[in-house]
Amino acid sequence: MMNTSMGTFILISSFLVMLIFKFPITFSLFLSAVFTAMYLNLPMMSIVQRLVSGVNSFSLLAIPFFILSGEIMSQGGISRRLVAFANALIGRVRGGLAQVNILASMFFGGISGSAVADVSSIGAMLIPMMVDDGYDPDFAVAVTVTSACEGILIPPSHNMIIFAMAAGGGVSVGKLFLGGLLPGIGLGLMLMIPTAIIAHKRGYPKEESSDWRKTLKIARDAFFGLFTIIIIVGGVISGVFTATESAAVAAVYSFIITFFVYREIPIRQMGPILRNSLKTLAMVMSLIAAASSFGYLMAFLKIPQAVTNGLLAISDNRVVLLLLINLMLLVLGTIMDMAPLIIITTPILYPVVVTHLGMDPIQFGVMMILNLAIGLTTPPVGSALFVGCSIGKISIEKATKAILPFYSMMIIVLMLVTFVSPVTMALPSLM
Amino acid sequence: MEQFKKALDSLFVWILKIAMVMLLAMVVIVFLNVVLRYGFKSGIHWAEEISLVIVIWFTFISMALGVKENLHINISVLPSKLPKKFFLILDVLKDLLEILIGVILVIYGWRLTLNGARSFLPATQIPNSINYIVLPIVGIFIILYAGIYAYEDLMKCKKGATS
Repeated sequence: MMNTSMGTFILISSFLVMLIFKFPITFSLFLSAVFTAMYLNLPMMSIVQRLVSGVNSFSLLAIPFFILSGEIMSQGGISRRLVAFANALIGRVRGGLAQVNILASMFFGGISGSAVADVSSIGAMLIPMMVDDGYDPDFAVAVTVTSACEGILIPPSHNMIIFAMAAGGGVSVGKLFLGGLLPGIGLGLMLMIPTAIIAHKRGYPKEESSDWRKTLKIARDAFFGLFTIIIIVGGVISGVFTATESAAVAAVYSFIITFFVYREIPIRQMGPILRNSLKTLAMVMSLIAAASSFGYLMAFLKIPQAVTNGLLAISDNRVVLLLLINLMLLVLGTIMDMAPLIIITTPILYPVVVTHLGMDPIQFGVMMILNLAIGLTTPPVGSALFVGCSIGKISIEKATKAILPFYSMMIIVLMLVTFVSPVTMALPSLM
Repeated sequence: MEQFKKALDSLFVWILKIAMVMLLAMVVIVFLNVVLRYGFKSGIHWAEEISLVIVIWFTFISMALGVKENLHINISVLPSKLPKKFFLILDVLKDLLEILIGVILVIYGWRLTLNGARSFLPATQIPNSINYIVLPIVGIFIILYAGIYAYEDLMKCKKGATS
C-alpha cells in the first residue's frame, strides 16, 4: 500500500516538475513513467514496449491520413473557395464578412480538424479583409478564433481519434464523428447571434450579393472540397468503410482534387506538404506513444479509481459532478494544449463519467473536446488565440476582452452538450 | 562540431525521406485495400499488418525529428522575468534528459528487438523484431542531436557567465 501511494507521488510530482521546468510534455510523460517504474521495480522493458504498443493500432492510422489530407487541401487553395461560397450564401447580411468567417470555418472543419490551421488559413485571409472594410480588429480576431473551434467538433477531427484511443479502444470513431457534427454546427449558429447583434450595433458593412450564375460556379467550385466530409460521414454511416479507410480515401481524394481539378499548385508542392504534415505528426504521434507508458503506470497504480472515489466523496449529485468536471477541464485547457490533455485526462475521468454517472462515451468525448477547444481560445496558453492575435496584430488582452460575448455562447453549447444528450447522440444513435 | 552536425543532418534527411515515403505508402496500402474489396472482391491480406509496422516506424522517426527541430510542445508557466541564466540551465537539463531517453530507447529497444526475433507476425511471417529495431536507430539520433544541443547550450551558458 505504501508502495502504491509513493509510486503515485513519484509519477505525478516528477511529471509536474518536468512540465513546469519547460521539458517537452511528451518526454515528461515517458520519463515520469520510467522513474516510477524504477521505484516500483517494474521491468523497464515493458515500459519501453508500451511506447510501441501505444501506436500499434489500426484506428490510429487515420490521424496521419486526415492531417495529410487537410494539409493538401489547405495548400491547394481550398480556403479561398470556401470563403467565396460562404460569401455567396450569407455575405449580404449586416456584418456579412463576420458571418462568412463563421460559416467558412464550419466548411473548413469538414476538411481539417485543426483550429490553428483554420485560423492561419481562413483567418489570414479574412482578418485583413475585415479590418480594411472597417471592422474593429479585436472583433475580427474574436470571431475568427472562436469560430475556428467548430472544426474540432465537425468531422474529420483527429482529436476525436485520440480520444477514442485514450478511452481504451472501445469507442467507435465513426460514432464520435457523428456525435460532433450537430454540436459543431450548433456552435457555429450560436456564434452567429452575438456577431449579428454587435454588427448591427456598430453598423458593420454588408457585402454585395452576386448573380445566381456566378453563385452557381462558386458553389460548384467549393463543392469538390466539401465532398470530403460527405465521403467521410457517408462512408462511415453506411458502413462502406471504417474511419481509417475513409481517411485514406479522403487523402487520395484531396490529392486528386487539388492537383487535377483545382490545379492551383504544382505537384512538386507535395514535398513541402509532406514535410509540414510530418512536423505536425511528430508532436501528435510521439505524444500518443509516450502517453501509453504513462497510462500503463496510472492503471497499475489505480489512479483513475482513486480520482473517482475522490470526486464521489465531494458529491454524488450528477449535476454538481459534471459541472465540476467541466470546470476542471476548462481550467486545464487554459494552460495546456488539447492533445496531451485528452490523453492524460480521458482514462482518469472515464470511470467517473461513464461508469458512475452513466454518460454515453460518445457524449463524454464530445463534451471533453468542446471543453478543451474553448481552452484553445483562452490565455495564458491558447494556440488558436495566439495565431489569431499575431495575424490581427493586437494584444492578447484586447482580443480576450472582445471574445467575452463569444465565450458565453460557447459555454451555453457546452452546457447543452453536457446535460441534453440528444444534442450529441441523435445522429450516432442512427448508426 | 559544426561539421559533425552537418554530416548528421545529411544522414537524417534520408531518414526523413523514408518517413515521407512511409506516410504515402500507408495511404496507398489502405486505399488499395478498399478498392480491391469493392472493385474486385478481394483484399491485401498483409495490408493491416504492414501498415501497423509502418506507423510504428513513422512515429519513432517523427519523435527524433521532434528532438532535432525542437517540435515537441512544452508549457510556459514560468514567469519570463526570471534570470536568463536560469532558462539556459533549463535548456541544458532538457538536453541531458533527452540524451537519457535516447539511451533508454537504445538499450531496451535493442533487447526488445532480440526478443522479437523469436516470434513472427501472423500474415507475413516477418520476425517481430521489425516493430522494435526502429527504437535503437532513432535512439542513436536522439542521443547525437541532444548531445550537440547540450554542447551548444553549455557554450551559451559559459558565454552568459563571462559577459
